[in-house]
Amino acid sequence: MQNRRQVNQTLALMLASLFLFTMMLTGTAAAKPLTAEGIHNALAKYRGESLTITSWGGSYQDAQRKAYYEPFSHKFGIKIIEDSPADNSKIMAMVKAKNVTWDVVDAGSYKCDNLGEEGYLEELDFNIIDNRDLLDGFWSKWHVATIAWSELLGYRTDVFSGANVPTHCTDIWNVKKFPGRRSLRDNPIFNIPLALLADGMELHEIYPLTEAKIQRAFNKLDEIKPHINVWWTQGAQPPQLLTDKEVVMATGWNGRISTLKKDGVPVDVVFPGSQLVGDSWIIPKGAKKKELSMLFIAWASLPENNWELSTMIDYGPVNKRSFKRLTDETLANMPISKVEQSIICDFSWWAHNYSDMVERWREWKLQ
Amino acid sequence: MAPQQLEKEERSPAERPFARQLARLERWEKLTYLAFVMPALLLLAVLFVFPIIKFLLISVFDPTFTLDNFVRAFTRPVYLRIFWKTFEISLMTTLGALFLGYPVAYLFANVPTRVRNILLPLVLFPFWTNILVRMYAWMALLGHNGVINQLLVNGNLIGEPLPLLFNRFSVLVGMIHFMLPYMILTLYSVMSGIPNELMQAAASLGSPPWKRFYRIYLPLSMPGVGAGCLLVFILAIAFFVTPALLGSIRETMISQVIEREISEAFNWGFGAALSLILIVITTTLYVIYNRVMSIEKIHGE
Repeated sequence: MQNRRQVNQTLALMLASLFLFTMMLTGTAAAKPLTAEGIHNALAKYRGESLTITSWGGSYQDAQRKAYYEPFSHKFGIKIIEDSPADNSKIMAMVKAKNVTWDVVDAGSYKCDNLGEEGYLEELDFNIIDNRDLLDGFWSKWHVATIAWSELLGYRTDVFSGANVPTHCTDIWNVKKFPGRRSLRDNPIFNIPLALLADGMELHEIYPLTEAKIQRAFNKLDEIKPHINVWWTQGAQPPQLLTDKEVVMATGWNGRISTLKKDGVPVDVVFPGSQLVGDSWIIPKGAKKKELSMLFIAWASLPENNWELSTMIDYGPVNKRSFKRLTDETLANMPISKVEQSIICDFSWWAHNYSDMVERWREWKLQ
Repeated sequence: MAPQQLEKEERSPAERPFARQLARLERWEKLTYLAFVMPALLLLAVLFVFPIIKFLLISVFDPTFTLDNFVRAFTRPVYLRIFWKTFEISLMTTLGALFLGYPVAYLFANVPTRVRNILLPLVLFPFWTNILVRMYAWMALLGHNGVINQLLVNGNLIGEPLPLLFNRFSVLVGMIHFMLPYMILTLYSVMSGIPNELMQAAASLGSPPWKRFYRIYLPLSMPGVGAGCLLVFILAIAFFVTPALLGSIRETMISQVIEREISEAFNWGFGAALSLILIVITTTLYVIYNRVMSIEKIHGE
């Protein structure tokens, strides 16, 4: 009897440990995404095929080509067909018509969740893509960020210099200390958080936005509205306005204004109080090369690849492990090194409320 | 007496079969013309009319039948304000183009052909230039540090630069600049049909120049004025590029709202509703114009 009990116990113990071991194996195998080697091996079978990637054109896409598309093409023998500009309504039209010609698209991160939940995007497979090292909030099941950049304040250094320079993005409200023509964006996404900051709110208190906060922001914006001479709509406008000295202070996108500085135009950027946003890779629903697209995104998110773009244009990587590959000098201009002074954009809040906020913004601006 | 004889001849039995044959020939002629036009009509119907109707249907089938989009367009005051602003700007553009274009068309219709052949390209060349290039040129001219302001300030004519850009003035300048060729060419096509002899006859009878113009020339050019104004107004209410580039937020026009709703806010239903309202307004204007003026006068049938 004792023998049988012992045997039974041992058998049970063996079975249990075998069960646990199998669970561990499958468990970790399921949670573990592909390593660099795994990605390389998986990509080997796609040699000779092509992938269509759509981005925004201009200097940004040129930098992407040098940092991502050409290395990827050479290494894996896969042809990359580029297209531009990325247009969300085009994605919607393609998915509706069931004729999707784009495989990977670079889109503003705050639109991705909305697009995804409406059924226009493929869910990303995190067994392929490694998202463990990405900045918080810069990925979801619909998108993986590719760059982190800032909406911030730019100003002319020949007008404000020495001791009298703007030190915080909210200085645009200070008409007495910094007089002159100004420009804000015709869009609520940065103006609302910036107005709250100008009204005295702390950085971490801003998101999630509530009705009371939005009302408070609009009241603060009423103050500055009569002083704004230009409301810009295109990304290329603020650098142009600053170059022409049409305005002396303008909010804009950090990469574009920093490029001016490199070209010798007397402008500078102000990081404190800026908003950190991102651009993400998305895959439209029904894309023909779904798995290849996932592998591309996984490859581009690897720490050894995610940082190259930042050497060519002032947009930061999103993989925390790639930060250390940048020199200190490059890092100083990167939005990601200023995280403590920036508002971190809440992409999912904007994804769900963008439509309503656009309408409210429209009503406010026509008052 | 002569016409009555002709009528009697027509009614004689020998003549009647001819009338029937003539009617049949006319019908065949019309069908042949229709056959020639059919391919183009079909292309237009399939590639243009059908997709537009499909798009406009999204305004009520969003995805199930709903009138919410139209309710929203009519009850939220901001959209009515934008529609009103669009009409205001379009009307001012039309009147501006008319007052600036009428003298130019008059000149074209009344100078020798040699001179006209030199002047006409001056109107047509900007017509053929891309609108974006022209708008950016206006931005360079009218800006705070633009060409005009720099000339005035450096020439010590004024102290501070004039606010010439990003306001109603710059939008009107841009739009009238774009619309002038349309207005001038439409007016000219009608004015060239007004015989010079009429004015000369009035002069020989002792009529002063202003009276000649007011009583004879102006009424005869009215179809051109009407057609030109209608064309310019219909083009203007759908304008997007000029108010977006040259205007401030107080000059937001309805097409900018439609563009935002479709490409940024993903509200295709609402964008389609606003588009449908715009199309209905345009068609109504055209119908009214049809009643007031006779279309044949312009097409010369």
